[in-house]
Amino acid sequence: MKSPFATAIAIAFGLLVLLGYFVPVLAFQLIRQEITLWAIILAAFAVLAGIANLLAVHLEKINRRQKGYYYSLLLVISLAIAAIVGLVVGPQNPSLRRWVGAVIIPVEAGLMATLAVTLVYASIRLLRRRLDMMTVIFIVTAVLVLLGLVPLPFAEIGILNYIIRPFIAHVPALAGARGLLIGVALGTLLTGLRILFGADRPYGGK
Amino acid sequence: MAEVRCPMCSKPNPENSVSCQYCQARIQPLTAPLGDPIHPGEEPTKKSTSELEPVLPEWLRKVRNPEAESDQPDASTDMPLDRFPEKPPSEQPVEEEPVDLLSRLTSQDADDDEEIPDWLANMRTGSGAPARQEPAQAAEPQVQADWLTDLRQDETPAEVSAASTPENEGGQIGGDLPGWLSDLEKESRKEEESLPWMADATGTESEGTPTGQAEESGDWLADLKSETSVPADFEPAPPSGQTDEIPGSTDLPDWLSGLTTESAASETLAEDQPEIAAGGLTDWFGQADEKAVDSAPAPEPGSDVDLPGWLSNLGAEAPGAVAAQASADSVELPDWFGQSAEQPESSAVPLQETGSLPDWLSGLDAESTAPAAPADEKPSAFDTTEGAVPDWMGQPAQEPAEMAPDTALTEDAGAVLPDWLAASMGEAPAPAQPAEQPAIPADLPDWLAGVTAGAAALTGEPEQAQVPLEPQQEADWQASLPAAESQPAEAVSPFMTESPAEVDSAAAVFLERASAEDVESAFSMDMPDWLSSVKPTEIPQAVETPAPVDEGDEISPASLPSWVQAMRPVESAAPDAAGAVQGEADVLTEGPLAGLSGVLPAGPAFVPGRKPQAYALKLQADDDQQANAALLERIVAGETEPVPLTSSELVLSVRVLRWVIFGILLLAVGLPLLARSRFTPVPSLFPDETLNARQAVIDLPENAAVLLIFGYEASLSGEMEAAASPLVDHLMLRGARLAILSTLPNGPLLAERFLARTQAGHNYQAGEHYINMGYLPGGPAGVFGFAQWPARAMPVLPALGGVPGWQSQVLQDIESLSDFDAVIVLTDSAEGGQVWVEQAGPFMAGKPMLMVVSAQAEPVLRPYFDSGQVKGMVSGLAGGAAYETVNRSPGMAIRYLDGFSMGLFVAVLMIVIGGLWSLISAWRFQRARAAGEV
Repeated sequence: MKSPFATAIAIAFGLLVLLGYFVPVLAFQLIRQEITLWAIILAAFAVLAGIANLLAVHLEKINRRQKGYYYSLLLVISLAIAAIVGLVVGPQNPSLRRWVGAVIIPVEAGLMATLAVTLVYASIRLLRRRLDMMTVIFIVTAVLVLLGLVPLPFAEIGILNYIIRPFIAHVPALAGARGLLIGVALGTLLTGLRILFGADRPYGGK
Repeated sequence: MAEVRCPMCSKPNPENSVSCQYCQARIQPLTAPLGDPIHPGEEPTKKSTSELEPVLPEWLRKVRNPEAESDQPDASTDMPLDRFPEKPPSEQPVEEEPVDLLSRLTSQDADDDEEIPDWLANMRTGSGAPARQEPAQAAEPQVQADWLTDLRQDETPAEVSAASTPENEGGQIGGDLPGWLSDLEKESRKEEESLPWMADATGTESEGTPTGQAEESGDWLADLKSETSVPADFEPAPPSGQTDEIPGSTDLPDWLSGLTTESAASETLAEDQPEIAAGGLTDWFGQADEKAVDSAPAPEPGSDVDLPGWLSNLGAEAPGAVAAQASADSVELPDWFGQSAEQPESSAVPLQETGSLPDWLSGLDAESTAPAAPADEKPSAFDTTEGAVPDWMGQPAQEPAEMAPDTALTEDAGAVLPDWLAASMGEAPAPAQPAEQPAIPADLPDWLAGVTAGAAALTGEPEQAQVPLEPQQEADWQASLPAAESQPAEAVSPFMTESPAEVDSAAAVFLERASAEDVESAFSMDMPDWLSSVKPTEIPQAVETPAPVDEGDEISPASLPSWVQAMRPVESAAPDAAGAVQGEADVLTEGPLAGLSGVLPAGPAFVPGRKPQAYALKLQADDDQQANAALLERIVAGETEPVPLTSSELVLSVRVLRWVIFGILLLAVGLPLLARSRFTPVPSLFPDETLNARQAVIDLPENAAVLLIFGYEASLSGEMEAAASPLVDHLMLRGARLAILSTLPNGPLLAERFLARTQAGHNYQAGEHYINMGYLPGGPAGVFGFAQWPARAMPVLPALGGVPGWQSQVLQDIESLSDFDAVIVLTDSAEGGQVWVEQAGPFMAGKPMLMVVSAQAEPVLRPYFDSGQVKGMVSGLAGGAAYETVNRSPGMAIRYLDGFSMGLFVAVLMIVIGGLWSLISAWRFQRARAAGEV
């Protein structure tokens, strides 16, 4: 069991934020605002901590000469160059933005394109690996949504573009989405209560 | 002028005086000096006195000859006096060598302790074992002394009645002796004739003594008597300087001096004492009797005539010694006896132990009580109280009347036997005595009882004398003999009252005081050889009287021979008081170890109290518990059992298929882009969300401040840029001021890229038309913080043209989120849009929130549009194309529409074809499996 001091702090701050929401008192609102701003600063430091952790992990790989360590070496070098250039010329430098954009956007877009090929391939193999009703439904739904998303080349199939696809997107998908959102909301509420009660201690306690 | 102090009264006398001018005691010894005195702890010089064996008394010879003693009954060892008539001393040859009767005792002691009688063993060890003395108290009646048995046989009723008659006691003393005493008298005469030391003693004393009685009993006993009469306040003798003036012969008792003289000296002495030689014992015996009668205040019959003179004087001279002490305050006695007389602790000793004393030692006991008597009550040197006179001499007329209530046997015994003998039978208990006459044990001889009673009366402590005494069954005079050296100065005679342990205690105190007061010289001059062996280290510091033990619970050790008793270790005889009492309480009463104390008991600590309870081996558990146990057992067994690896069906790696798919999609998407064709028809129907978004933009005021949130990743930047470009273009067309904020780290970069690639034609300038505020960390918290206080959530904005961000034209009038005319969220994830709707929605104050989302996030975020929280939405490339179509400004979205449509169609086609092929393959596989081909 971790120190009860951290738990007490978490519960106290959670209650103060709740009071700022539900009690129309200026003091509570000011406290809530202040605590929220502290969270922004802490989140920024969390990004820096994440960068530091990433750097440490890859440096460890380089030191141990683990498999693929040269990728880690490339990452460390790229990080160092971007950080140094960014600190020198500033983040608003157009050249820096182009260089960064020329690297990040094609890479990530290429990964998404690969995903498209993979999804097509998986969908082809799905019926072979798992032939059941749900698989068929899944495949059929996906095909219908894709066909109804945009007009087909050379022709527009209204029933697909304006009936089937909107129906699928606005009824079953919306139902599922709302259910998902409600579930997320309930889960978030429950998680907040558990944190306030000290049952969950995502800040390090068990 | 040199003076010599009398060893008896300690008064100064002229140097050449032979006898004391005051007490007539002999000052100059009859023998030559023995040399250096023997100090305590030193071994006496061994002397060859084997030639004197025949002249010794029987009891001494028995002590010296344990082999012969072992043949005798045990009782005989306790009663040595009955052996006097058997071997007259006159028959023994007298040697010319120095007489040392006790020298062999010490040698024997060194050789073998078994041969040492108890009283000598006690004296040597200096500690009387309580266990050894207890048998004397608990002895049974049948252990009567043989000499008493002989007395009953020898005495005739006539003699007894004559001896007990008061008239005869006064005038026929010495003539009406019992037979055994007559024999004893004869033997004594013979011994006087043959023993120089007896002759010397009697002759010398009678010669120089006015009264001629006190000193007739032998010098050594007289000295002993006088020494024990030292008052309690007696001061120690002066240092050795003064004692050096006394001749060395006076340092030793006369009797011991006589033992050391040579035969020539004894002959000379015999010539110097013609009266003694002529009168024999008769004279001194008669004198002793007369003295006893004269000194008695009451007409008590005295049977002192029945004893040898040296014995009778012991009892008769006790009052005389008291009187002598009272009249002479400055009597100088040997210090070691004087110190012993000062011990007050012995005054509390009960009387019941005195019965073990022999008669002749009882006289010593009476003497020891004399110092406690007040001086004014004893004006005469030889006055005696009635208690000091032996009862058997002075109370024959009273005793029968007092014993009348007792049994007839007692009456007969009182009539036939002497009182002391009748009392010794133990039949009649001691009658109630007046306050000044304490109770005397009935088993004591009358004369001894009288002495005890008189002594108690003199001390003025009747309460001690009234303590009921237990009948004494055994006259263990040997055991009580050591007590002679440790007599207290008051109360009842320690000889009669002290237990051996107390004697040892008194001896220890005496030795301590003797050493403390530097009287070693005086101590050593009177120390006999056998007494010199007493070592202070062997004397215990404190010994208390052991508690009496019930006779029935004990095996009386009195029946043990003396050599067995002597084998007992000295250490065990000197325990502390608590240990002694505890040990007696723990004495075993049965078994082979009966009579021993301190034995580990085989008690409950070693024996189990009860049989151990038997427990059933069957497990007592109900069904649920057994079920749970079985489940746990299965789980544990399952963990240990090896799980066979299921061989997965080999999936054919269709790398070629992947490349085919990649190629088809590449062609399907790339060819329309390269061909710049428009074969895909534009949608004729537009979604409501897109139309609402366009209307919201249209509703924005001129030069409206719009917060544009970039919350999508670079991977979906192609779709997002195509979907958002018509809306942003519309805003720019409307002249909106754009405040660009990103909730992702890459958001600012994508925002700049977006503006550069899609809105370059608007010529928007940073700081003037738009401002890239950068990255807002914190997720929902950051969004919430920015929504409620934007300036504090993003306090530092890049300065453009030297102007701070919040003071630029874009943000100059922005203080809160509601100051923005619209908030447009560009996000590719449902969570991103959700956060802004939930956290920033309440702070919008009715201002529209629009969203441009990817096709994948649209189903999740659509509910917010349906609920009205989001005024308009552009969903994906299709939404962008629709917005361009509605806005009549074809752009990127329509341009991408052929490639996007062709790519979706090809992908769906491949999925369908591939799915069918997979389905057929699966069907064939299952068919083959069913046919057994696989």
